[in-house]
Amino acid sequence: MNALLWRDLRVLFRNPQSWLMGIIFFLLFLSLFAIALNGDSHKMRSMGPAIIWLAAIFSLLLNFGSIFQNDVNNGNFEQLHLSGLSTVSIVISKICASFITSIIPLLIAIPIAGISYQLTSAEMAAIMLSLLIGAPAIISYGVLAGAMLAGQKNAGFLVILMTLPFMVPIVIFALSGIQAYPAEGLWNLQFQALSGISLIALAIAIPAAAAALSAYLD
Amino acid sequence: MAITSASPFTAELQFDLVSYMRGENLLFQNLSFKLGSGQILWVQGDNGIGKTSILRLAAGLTKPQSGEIGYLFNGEASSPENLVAFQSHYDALEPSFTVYEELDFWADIYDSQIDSLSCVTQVGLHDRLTVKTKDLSAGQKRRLAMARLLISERPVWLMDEPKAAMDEAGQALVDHLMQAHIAKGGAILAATHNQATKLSKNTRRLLLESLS
Amino acid sequence: MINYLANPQRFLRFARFAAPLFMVLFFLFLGYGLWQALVVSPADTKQGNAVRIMYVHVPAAWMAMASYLALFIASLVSFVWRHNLADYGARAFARIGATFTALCLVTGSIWGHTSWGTWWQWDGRMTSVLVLFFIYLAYLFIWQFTDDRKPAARFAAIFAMVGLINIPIIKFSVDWWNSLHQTATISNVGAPGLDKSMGTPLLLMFLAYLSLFAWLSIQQVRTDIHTAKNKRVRTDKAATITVEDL
Repeated sequence: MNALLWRDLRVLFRNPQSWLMGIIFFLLFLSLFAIALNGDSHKMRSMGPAIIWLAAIFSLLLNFGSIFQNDVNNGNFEQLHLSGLSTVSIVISKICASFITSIIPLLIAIPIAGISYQLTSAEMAAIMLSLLIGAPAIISYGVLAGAMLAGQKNAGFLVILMTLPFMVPIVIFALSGIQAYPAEGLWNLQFQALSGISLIALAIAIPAAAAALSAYLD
Repeated sequence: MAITSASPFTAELQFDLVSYMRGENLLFQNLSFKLGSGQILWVQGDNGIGKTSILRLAAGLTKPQSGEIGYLFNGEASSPENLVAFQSHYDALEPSFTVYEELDFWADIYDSQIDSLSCVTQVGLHDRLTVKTKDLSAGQKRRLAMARLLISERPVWLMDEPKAAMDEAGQALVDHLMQAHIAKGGAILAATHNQATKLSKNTRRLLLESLS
Repeated sequence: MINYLANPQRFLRFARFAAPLFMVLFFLFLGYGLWQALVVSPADTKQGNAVRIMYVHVPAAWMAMASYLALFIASLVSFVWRHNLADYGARAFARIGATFTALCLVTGSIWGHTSWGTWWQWDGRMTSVLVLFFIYLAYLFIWQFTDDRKPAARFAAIFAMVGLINIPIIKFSVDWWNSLHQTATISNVGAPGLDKSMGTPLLLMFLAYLSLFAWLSIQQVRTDIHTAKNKRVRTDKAATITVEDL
């Protein structure tokens, strides 16, 4: 299992399009939005957390379309399965590797975005925390969609289609948690609900993604 | 089961009245054979007739519509992941890894006792250790896949067109590695469309022919 | 009953009498229900005749959820037992459920416009229904994008089951979110307190929708069975096998 995790990490790290493009998209999107708002700092401040969160979700989700494609299409997945690794291990390893390679760049990019949107440091902290808590859910559903789309072209767009309905509770609790953070701190009710949602997402998506991947073996 | 050069072992792969469909087509029915230690069975037939399917069934990657596939190691029931290693016609190599990293990874996965460097040398890639697999030629990729077979320490090898994309030296290498594997007590189930060669006393051929 | 109908031949025989039966029931319930809804039941004191759209809208919302439950059960059966009929059923339930959901959204929008002047409100119920509609669309999309039917069925079934667990979470979170910033009028988007005279037409319309659901599902499954029958297994193409020594 460890060997697999290191491999997934190295692969993601060496293929920068998986995380670099995501961050560039994130910053581009936010820049475009700021331009669309005419740089109106009042609007940007009030909408900042919501816009940054949506930019983060999209930049995360767009990558998942291709995470399993290489391995499934070049026969690697078969070999991994044949060596005795369970599909569940393969999925868990992918989720952990994705978490590390996609969240860390985002955590760096958010303060940059936050400063340009003139958010306070408390707000930026709240956004980063909410992302940390909610990321397992986003990544779980992304990996599930990626497992189903391993044989599909133009998968990025389809990932969005398949995962956005499930993003609704995440967005709701993340953003209301950000609002509650200054008053109630890290362990406010909304962040607790968000962590619950993340745990449920992991519990559902891991077996579901494993089952979906198994379909490619037949 | 990892085979070490020390302890003797027997391994057997059994097909019992196996029928298989691909999509809506019945490829073959009532296929039965036994493949034991020291034996080579070539699966020969035209492209598309079902050779790869037989290999994939043997690997446990897909299930037959009817019939049973059995795996024995030292007389006891075993499973594909313990008995079988598969060189498919896909490369199955991570493009961004070097030859050494790739084989080292598989050595970890298979918890291999064999040194990866010796496997690389046996397939003639020792001067390509730091080359990324995406930069290898087709023949070199096949050699690396064979190194993976060696490092898996599995008794039964499934090989899909082992000599495809190999030059003369490569083909001689394939023959040599296959014979060495058989001599150690391994078994090989190999698919070919026209190159079934008698590599040992115990070489048989399973011929698939379509009626049309 | 599921076991009985699992055989395609038996299902076709069942369909031959069941489909017209449900069709007749649909028209009967629809006729009686609409008459009750449009003529017999009283107009609302605040909303006037516009409230009558509730009789189309509310049962449609119920059907949106009921269809998803049917979809979930069919998906579960398909996933565990891998039966073609379960797949056909699931697809039919999804199409019909999506249509009811769309009907619910459109009639809700019209109702909102006639009563409150806005075509759409981001309130709890309508937002949940909208998300449910997107889930249906995503589910139907899965059937489109894979060529070999087998993986599509697995993925669709998995997605439907994952979706079911999410629906209460989504509903809960949207209701909670809505309770943070609702205004007085929006909270009354739901049906006004159920009067006894309103119960009958609601029930009749719901029964009408159920009959429609049954009728259309049976038709679609029947079509799918016939389409599949035309792709027969070609046994004559199986390869001959000879094992010989070299």
